[in-house]
Formats: sequence, structure tokens, C-alpha cells
Amino acid sequence: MNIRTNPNRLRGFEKHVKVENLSRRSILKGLGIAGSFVLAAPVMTRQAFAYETGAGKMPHGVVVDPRVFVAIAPDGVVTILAHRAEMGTGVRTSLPLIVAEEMEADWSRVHVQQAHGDEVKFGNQDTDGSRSTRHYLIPMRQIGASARSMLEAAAAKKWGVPVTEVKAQNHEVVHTSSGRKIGFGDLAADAAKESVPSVEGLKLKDPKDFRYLGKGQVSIVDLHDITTGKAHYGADTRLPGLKYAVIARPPVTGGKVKSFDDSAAMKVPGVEKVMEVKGWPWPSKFQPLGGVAVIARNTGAAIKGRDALKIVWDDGANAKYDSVTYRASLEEAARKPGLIVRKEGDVDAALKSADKVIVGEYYLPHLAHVSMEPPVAVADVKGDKAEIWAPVQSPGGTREDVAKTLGIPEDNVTVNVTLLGGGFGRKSKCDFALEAALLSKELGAPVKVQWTREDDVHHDFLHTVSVERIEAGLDKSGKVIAWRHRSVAPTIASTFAAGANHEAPFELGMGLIDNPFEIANLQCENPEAAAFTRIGWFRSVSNIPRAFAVQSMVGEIAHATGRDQKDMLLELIGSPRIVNLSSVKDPWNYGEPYDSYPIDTARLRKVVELVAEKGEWGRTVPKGHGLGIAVHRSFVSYIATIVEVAVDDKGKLTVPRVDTAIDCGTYVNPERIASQIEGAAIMGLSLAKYGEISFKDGKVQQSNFDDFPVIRIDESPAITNVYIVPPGADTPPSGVGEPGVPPFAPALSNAIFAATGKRIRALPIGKQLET
Amino acid sequence: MRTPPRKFQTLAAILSAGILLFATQTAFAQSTSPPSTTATRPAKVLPDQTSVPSSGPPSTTGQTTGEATRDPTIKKMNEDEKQKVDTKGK
Repeated sequence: MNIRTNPNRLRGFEKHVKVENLSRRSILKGLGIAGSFVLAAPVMTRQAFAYETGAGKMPHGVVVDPRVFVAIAPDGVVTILAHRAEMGTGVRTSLPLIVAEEMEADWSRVHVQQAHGDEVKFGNQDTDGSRSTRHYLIPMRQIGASARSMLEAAAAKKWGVPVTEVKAQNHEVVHTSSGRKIGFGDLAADAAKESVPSVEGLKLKDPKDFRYLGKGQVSIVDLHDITTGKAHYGADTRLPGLKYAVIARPPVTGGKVKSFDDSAAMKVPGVEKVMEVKGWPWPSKFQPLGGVAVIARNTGAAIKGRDALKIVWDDGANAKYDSVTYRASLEEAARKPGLIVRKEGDVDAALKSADKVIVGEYYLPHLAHVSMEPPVAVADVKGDKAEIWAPVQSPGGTREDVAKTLGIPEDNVTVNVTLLGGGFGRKSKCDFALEAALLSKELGAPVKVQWTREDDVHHDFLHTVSVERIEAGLDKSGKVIAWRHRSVAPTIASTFAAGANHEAPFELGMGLIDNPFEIANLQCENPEAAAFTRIGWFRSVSNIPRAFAVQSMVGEIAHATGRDQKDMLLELIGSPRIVNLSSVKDPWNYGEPYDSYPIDTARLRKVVELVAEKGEWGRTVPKGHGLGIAVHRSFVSYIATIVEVAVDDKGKLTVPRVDTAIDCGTYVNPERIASQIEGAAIMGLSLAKYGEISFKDGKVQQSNFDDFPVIRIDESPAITNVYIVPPGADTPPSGVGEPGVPPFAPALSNAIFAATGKRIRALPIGKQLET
Repeated sequence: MRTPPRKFQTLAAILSAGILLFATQTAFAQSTSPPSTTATRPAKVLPDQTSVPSSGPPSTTGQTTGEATRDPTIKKMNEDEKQKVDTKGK
């Protein structure tokens, strides 16, 4: 959010989102950057399709059949299906917009309709991993081009002219020589009889003719409904005869009900029933935790009934989980050798021979997603059929899990996707939908299960807790000759496998084994770490602690050697090159082929230099202010951030300005990119200042926004400037939803050090700055 | 509370079928009178809940945690998801 008191400087797309009209070469040569900002459409040529993505290897792959995604009514209204879930990224607009662009539909006559969960029909629907545009830019263009081709073929037949003489143009097909025109609606019936052209033979639009892509002038389709309160979120679903339920869940992961007394609960007006609900031993994928459900005529009564329950829990094996002692255990593990997951040169010898060794240990606690809308789901199970209404990131996965949990065929399950009031990875787990389905089956009635904020905080699939320890060896000249990074954190795999104590390849690939620094002796290790609670994906996942550690260490080395942070960073990144990961056994690359998405240090350098230029790195700041910089590659995008902080004499921290440069390859909607980066700055600042979920006696100690705060508007960065690197003709699209978060905390921490001389090695900052 | 939603539509738009209007499958979420609700704030810690003492060891990184499920369905779901995250990441 950009808020300024001068109305002339209020946030405007053109003022804060800048697509830089730069060539990569100009950066690499260190040439000056153009003084004016030029909005430029991204270049997407046929050559752009020379690359491959990992889309086809996702479960159920990709479907490019226009008959599945596009419908045209006789009145000309074009309906385009959005098969991904909308949680604030704008994907429900962006993907259909690509289709509309390519088929020459007039966006004002396009209706976007949400797909239900059906991956056989629609292809993979997991809205996570910052993958939607990355994986669907090409398929959506192909779908649009197919539809256009079918319309043109139908028009040519109607007029008895060669198809080469007709052209789709803004919702009509035109016979170029005679000037005859016919609307899409009038052609629809005939077009539907045309065969779908092969993908290989499709003629795609020339990017110079794009009307929408890359322009940033199309609002999200839900904007009006969201701002007027008409948008349909999960909690808005109502059915005739709907029962309302809340559940008292075991306070310790793996616990279960020993006994309960519902006599007081049943006296609460509106409460209709109290029942124990099934839980499974932990780990059990996304299955419900079990507990005691209170079913009532409304959610308020159900909550009051739950408050009146008397329950004795058997807390099970995780009742001794304590964040204080566990942190000490993590630190101890980080100080001992661990499983080597990347090895370049001889780090032990290099550290031994180093003139100076700098050691940093960085701690990041568990984090809760706390999306503004807590989990909620409605289910209606009748016999061997089930229908679900829920804000889920994975509608296909939800369908599959509901079917398996109820023991019914997947074809008998319909999952209707509402808007998500935020997701951040929490709603890729469908436990709340499974709870509703199980209760509906038991009660023989439709049921809404509503989670309260307290439920959400207590029973989340949390971001992991971690200690990152880095040892950097320097020679006499201050050059870094050795780098050992040990990362210790419970793995997400523990949510599916008992005894999983090492991080999975995808976690190791998020800022550990993909370290881009040009250091001869570099070793990454992963000591084991047991999980004692449910661990899940959280926006940016392991990139958050890794970027915090690596980029903070860069700041520490810069200080120790008297170097400028940015200069130190560029020195460590080293020469423009493709990073060789041949020493890594399983070099996970966000599921993408390395040929298409290598670690390209030229692009990494570029975003550093761009943000330094535009963010006025090195500018004079007032007393008590400081600048920090950080860069990180995640979700195959490159992003660098400069944070300016102000710390007053009592330790109060504010952020006057944030500058971020992102290279996300070919893109669709720069306005959405800016929104994601602004949101990432707010989220990053929230997490850095306040984010901590802690355990005592196996139980989460926080409950709501009073003890797990998110920053309010008065604490948000006053200005967030976003600079987008225009893609080259052959640059594949990469992630946007998540990459903004990881560099924020280290840039902030480096800025705090510049302002105060205090180094933040453990998050949240909390009271560390108070004097 | 907001006004109840109108209806959901499930796409059945198929150009090849020659049916160009949607054969919409309207779900049950039609308008009904919303039930009355009472504003309430949930208890931060649910009262009258207790736990039996645990004899588990203090939490450390080197332990083996979790319980291998005997439910064949859940076992398969766990294995499939583990395989999925190992290969796809998410």
C-alpha cells in the first residue's frame, strides 16, 4: 500500500509500477539506466514457446481443449472458465484474460465462471507454488487461439470464402476484402461444429497486437463484488436445512478425546447435538484432527455450546513440545555436522585456512497463515454423493480426498470453489472440508463447519521452525573463500510420513542447495529435526528462513570487511553465469526443467542493480534511518528489495520506503505484480515484527490477532515502489505470488543494523529494539 | 451477515455439443432466510478442558515422532502425498 499525504502523489499504477525499458546487456555493462519509465508490453513471440515448463508433469497435467474452457452464447457473451482458485492474486482474471486476448474476445463481453474441482476435465488445479501463470500462459493462449480458429473457420464456410480471407477482430469475424462482419454470437452454433485444431498448427497472435496482455489496465473481475460486499466467500454459503457446527479439537497434535460431558452444552439455546468426530493418528495427510462437534441452529450458538463442553483430552506423545527447549535443540543440531546435500570444494579445509571466520545463527519460529477468512466449508452428503462448497486452493485434491475419506467414487463428489479470503497455503489442505463432509454424512443433513480465529491459530498446518547456521571464511583480502550453511527444520513431509526427520528435496531447493554465490568451497548440510506438530506450506515456504539467513550474513560480512552491502552482495553473486548444480543429488528447481529455468546470475545481478539504481541506494537518510538490501531467487523469479527503516530513540520501528525490483519473465498483468509485491512487503513486515507461534506443553500459546498481530495500516510501509524487468523474447514466465516475501526480512534486518548497529538474528523483532 | 448467495453454477459449456447456452447445474444454495445469529467471541482457551498427564520425553530434534497409520486408505493417501511432494514439491 502506498499512502502519501500529497494527493498528487497518491498511489497510481503509473507512479509506482515501472516496467523498466532496459536491456540486460545495459545492466551487465554497468551502463546508465534510462531516466524515464516506459511502460512496455512484454514481448511474447512464437520463440517464447521454445521453452518447456513443468506443467505437464503436475498431477493430471494440462488440458488445452477450448470446448472445456470456452462457451459462446447466441447473444455473444463469451464465458471463460477459471479453473484456479482466487485468493487475492487475480488469477481468476489473468488466466481468462489470456484466452480472451488470443481469441479476440472483447473483455467487456466476457463472463468469467469458476470451475468446480475436476482435474481429469480441467487439468491440474492446485493453486499454489506461484505456478498458475507460469504453467498456464501457453495453454491459455492455445485455448484462445483454438477458439478463434474455429470461429474463423465457421465464418469462412458461411461466406464461402477461404479461411485465409477472414480474421477475428474484437468479438467479430471480418471478411477482409468485402468488409463483411459477423459477431461471435451469430457464429457460435456453426463454430461448435468445427473440429478443434491441433496445437501444432495454431497461429498465435503477434504480441504487437495485444490489447490486454502486459498492459495492466484490466481490473480483476471480482473487484466490484468484493468492494460492495457481494462477493461470495466460503462462509456465505447457505443451504436449506443447513446445520452449523464448530469443533473442539485436540489441543495437542496427535491427541484425542478421553471423555467429555455435554450436559451444559446441550442447554445452550440453539444447540441441537453434540457428538464426537473421528480423527486419525498423526500423521494422516489432511485428515481432520477429530474432537467433539457441537451442532446448532447457528454458528454463534454452536460456539457457546462448545465453550460449555467439559472435555478430558489424552494429549498423546507430543505433549512435551516446548518451543524454548526445542529451539535449543535446533541450535545444538546446527552446530554439528549434518547430512551433506551440496558440496563444492573442501569447506573444512578452507575454513581452517581462512583469515577470518564469521558465524551467524538465525532463528525463525513457527508462523501461522491467519488468512483473513478462517477455514470454513459446507458439505451436503446424500447417500453415495457429496457436494462441497469451500474456499479451497486445491479443488481437485479436495474432491479426491473427500471421495477417499467417505469411501465413494470421485465422480460422485462435486467441489464448488468460493472466493478465498486469503490462502497463503493454508487452504491447500482440505481438512475443514473433510470435517464438514463427515459431519454431513453422520447427520444426514447439510453442514457448515466454521473455524474461529482461535481454531485457525491453534490447529494450523504451521510454517516450520528453523535454525540456519552459516559459517563464512574470508581470506586476508576479505574475499569469501568458504561458506557452510546448515539448515535445521522439521519437514513438511512429516505431515505424511511418521519419522520424516530430514527436509525434502523441494525444501532444500528453496534457498539452500540453490545458493547462487560464486564461492569455491561451498557446503550445505541438513541435520535432522523431528516434527511435533503439523507442518505445511506457507507463502514462500523455506525461502523465508533461508533468505533471512543468507542475506543477513551478506550484511554481516559487509560490515566485518567495511564494504557496502550492495557491493558485497554483487561480489558474492559473482560473474554472470548459469549456476552448475551437478554436485547436488536432487536439485529441485520448483518442478521446472533447468534448461528453461536455470539459476542465471546475470538476472540476479540485474535486479540488484536495478533496485539500487531506482531505489537510490546509498542516498543520504536522516539520523536514525538506515537502508538494507537483499536479493533472492524463488519460484524461479528474481527479486531484490531495499528497505528504509526509521528507529526512534525508544526503539520504535517504522518503514518509510520500500523499493523492489522483480524479474518474473514474461507476464500478463503488471498491476497484479505490483499488488503482490505490496502485499508481500506488508506481510513480510508483519512476520518480521510480530510473527511467532510458540508451544508449551504441546499447545499453541497464541490465539488471535492480539497475540499474533498483523501490522495495521499505520505500520505499513509508507511507499512501496515496484520495478519490473521486461522479459526477453525467450524468457518464460515465473512466479509472482510468493517471491516478494523472502527478501523483505533480511533487507529490513540489514537496514536496522545500518540505523542502529543492532543485528537481528532471531525473528520476530519483538522488543529487541526497545531501549 | 451478507445476503445469501444467489446460486452457483457448474460449467457445462461445450462448443462441440452445439449447445451454446450453459446447461447450468444449479446447486442448492438458493436464497433462504438466514438463521439468526448471536454475536459471540470464542473463548481463547476452551474452559473446562483438561488433559491427562503425559509421560512423553521432552521435544528434541533427534526423536522419531508420528505414528504409522494402520488404516489402509490413510496409509495410501499418506504415501501418495509423500511421493507427490518428493517429486513435484507441492
